[in-house]
Amino acid sequence: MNAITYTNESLVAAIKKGGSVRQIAIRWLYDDKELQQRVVSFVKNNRGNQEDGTDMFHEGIIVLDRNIREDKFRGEAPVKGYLYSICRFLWMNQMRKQERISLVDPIKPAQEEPDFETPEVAFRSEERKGLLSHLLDQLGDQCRKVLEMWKLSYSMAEIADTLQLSSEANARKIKYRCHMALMEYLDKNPRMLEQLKDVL
Amino acid sequence: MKIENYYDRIDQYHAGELSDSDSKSFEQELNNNEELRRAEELYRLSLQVLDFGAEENLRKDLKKWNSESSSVSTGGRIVSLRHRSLQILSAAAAVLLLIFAVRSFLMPQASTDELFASYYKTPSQTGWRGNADAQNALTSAKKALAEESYADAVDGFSEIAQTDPLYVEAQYYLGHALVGLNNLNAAKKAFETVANSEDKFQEKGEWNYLLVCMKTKQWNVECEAKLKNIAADEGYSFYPEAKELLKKMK
Repeated sequence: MNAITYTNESLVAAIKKGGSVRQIAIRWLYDDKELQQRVVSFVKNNRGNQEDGTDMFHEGIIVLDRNIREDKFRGEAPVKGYLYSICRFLWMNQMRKQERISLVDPIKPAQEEPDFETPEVAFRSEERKGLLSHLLDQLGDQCRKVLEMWKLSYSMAEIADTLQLSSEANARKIKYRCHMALMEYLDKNPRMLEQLKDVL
Repeated sequence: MKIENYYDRIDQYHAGELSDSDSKSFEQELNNNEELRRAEELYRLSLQVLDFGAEENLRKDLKKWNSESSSVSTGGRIVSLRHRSLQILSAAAAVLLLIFAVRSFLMPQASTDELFASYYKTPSQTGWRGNADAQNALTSAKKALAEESYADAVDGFSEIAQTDPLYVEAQYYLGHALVGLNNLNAAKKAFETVANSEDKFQEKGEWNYLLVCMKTKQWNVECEAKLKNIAADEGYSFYPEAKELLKKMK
């Protein structure tokens, strides 16, 4: 719902920059209904339904965001083509888990394909999800919000403003206190730490 | 272990805030200092935990956006958008006043998306006409449209021949399916066909044609005149909306 448009480069740069700039870029990507429809059509042509297709589009955006932030996207293909490839892979992977099927895809992407075997595009396991959720639950609501915004490169001023903290300095103090608390919790729970290393 | 003894340096190292020489000495110390190595590992692992939290938040945002667009397609978002956009629209109206003084036909760049979203509604099902085959094709395409399978809907509506009594109706729904695919220029053409007809869908076609013109920044003197005519005709189906839109544009 905005007049911003992106080139491949500016889209990648915006996601890497983080903060509200990333959020706007992701929203722009999400608003591409034609792309979403392509993903949904692929899923529907391969034993899925509308909801499955929408879910794959969402998961694809999450993986794309992560790959860009972690410099795993090499930029050799258009971002949208790469996103479509990720969504295809995610659905194929899900289908393979259920049964071996021959997939029908009218659109053969000639773009950069995600590596099917790499963990960065694999669905998170339930075990991983449970453990990570448990760890996040150890943080209070405020701690969690501050740290998650900080991790996404929001500035301390943006964090203070969004979470209505008294000042930028206060946001920095809270970030320090909360991050320390999370690290100390891991330090004091060696079994959980080992489990974490296993699932990551 | 006192993590706090190391935290600031690790944080600066990961943020790329250390000078080259400090970075090198930090890396050397990592090799020799067991406690620092352990603290740095905890730092890295904690970042992965936070990344998971950020992904969960993005997942929630995507679901929220999805339900928002679903309610737009069923018409439910119209009211909420009006509320949310009130401030934006007020500001845009002020800007527009100035722009209209110079070029009365020029549409605002910043608010057309919001205005389009405020007034655009996806169609509801209507009565049946035409021959049996065309009727079946139209019914299937309408079903696809309702399920937001826009590409299938476009294929279905495009099948209805120009000579069929259902052609204008099919063009009207085709316009909506094309909006769903964000193919706005083609949608405009379909709505224009409906607007130029004498079918019962004529007013709906004309109204949607104007909305798409606005959305695609193709507003011109003719669009302005059409909107004014609708806003002056109390018997027109979109009279209240046109009046309101005209007011916001001024």
